[in-house]
Amino acid sequence: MSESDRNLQDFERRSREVLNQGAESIGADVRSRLTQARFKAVEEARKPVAPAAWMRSLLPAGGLAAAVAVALLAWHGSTRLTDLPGGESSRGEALEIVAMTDDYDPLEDDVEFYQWLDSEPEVESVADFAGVG
Amino acid sequence: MLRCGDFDRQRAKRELALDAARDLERFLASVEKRAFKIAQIAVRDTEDALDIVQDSMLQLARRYAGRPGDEWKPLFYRILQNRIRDCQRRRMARSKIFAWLPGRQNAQGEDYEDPVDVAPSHEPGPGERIMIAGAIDALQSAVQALPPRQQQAFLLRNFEGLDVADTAAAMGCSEGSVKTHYFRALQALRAALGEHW
Repeated sequence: MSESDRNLQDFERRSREVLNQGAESIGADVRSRLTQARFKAVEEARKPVAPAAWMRSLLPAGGLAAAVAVALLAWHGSTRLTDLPGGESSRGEALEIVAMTDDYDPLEDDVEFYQWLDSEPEVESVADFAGVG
Repeated sequence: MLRCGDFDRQRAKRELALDAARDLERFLASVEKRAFKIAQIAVRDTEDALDIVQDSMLQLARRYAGRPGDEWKPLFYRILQNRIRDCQRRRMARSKIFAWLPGRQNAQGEDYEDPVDVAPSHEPGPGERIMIAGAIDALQSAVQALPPRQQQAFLLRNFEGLDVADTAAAMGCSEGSVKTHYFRALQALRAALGEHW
């Protein structure tokens, strides 16, 4: 393992430790609300499934909601992201949020990336990285 | 009247349901603090982060409580990421609407502050970084400055400890994409935190 890989692994370990410290140091009020949310969710899981008749009564409302959603999507698609307030940074972030269905983006020319990939225990081959293995 | 066999079956069914509820509670207890931190880093607001985690827990309980426990983690984080994205999109839409309104003023004739405008900057400058005390704040600020996909990949892989396949399931992308985003996040964070670490 190269010095660069070791440094990267040290960084991963250290950052994990620091983030865990941050999670453990959250305030009592937040912990209490998380506990309440958890109890509520568990109660929800115990509830019986709603009857089919109740679902059927919502179908017209569902159709209307779908129509509204399509109209909103059409309106949203027609607005230009370049009109967003803020600088280049917020525009870039807005684009990324909207385009979050992105996928495979190879770092073809990045030798350091492939060195790091080679040191990853979970990765067996480049085919695995490409998702074809 | 219930026969002895019926009574035993009902009792066994109740105990099974109780076990499932306990399993779900244990799972939620094991992820709730990290999920809250992930949401807080992404949306930079405690109340919104709490709402996101609560919604995600409820959604998991309503729709996936009956699924095998080993599927809960990627499902929960997929829901959480969707809720985070919904929150970010709502803010974007709100900022668009506010941008159309000229000189909104309160009763005292002063301009209202747009919460989006007064939110912390995405990219703290060198001076601001020096002023941030402590490794936790420095790391959280650096993670907040990452592009959303890199931030997700880093927090799910490194902080939550999901493997590549589960991270891909939670992010809704390919495993190759997860590795690319994660590696870029590591590089960006190391570059940003070099002086602190």
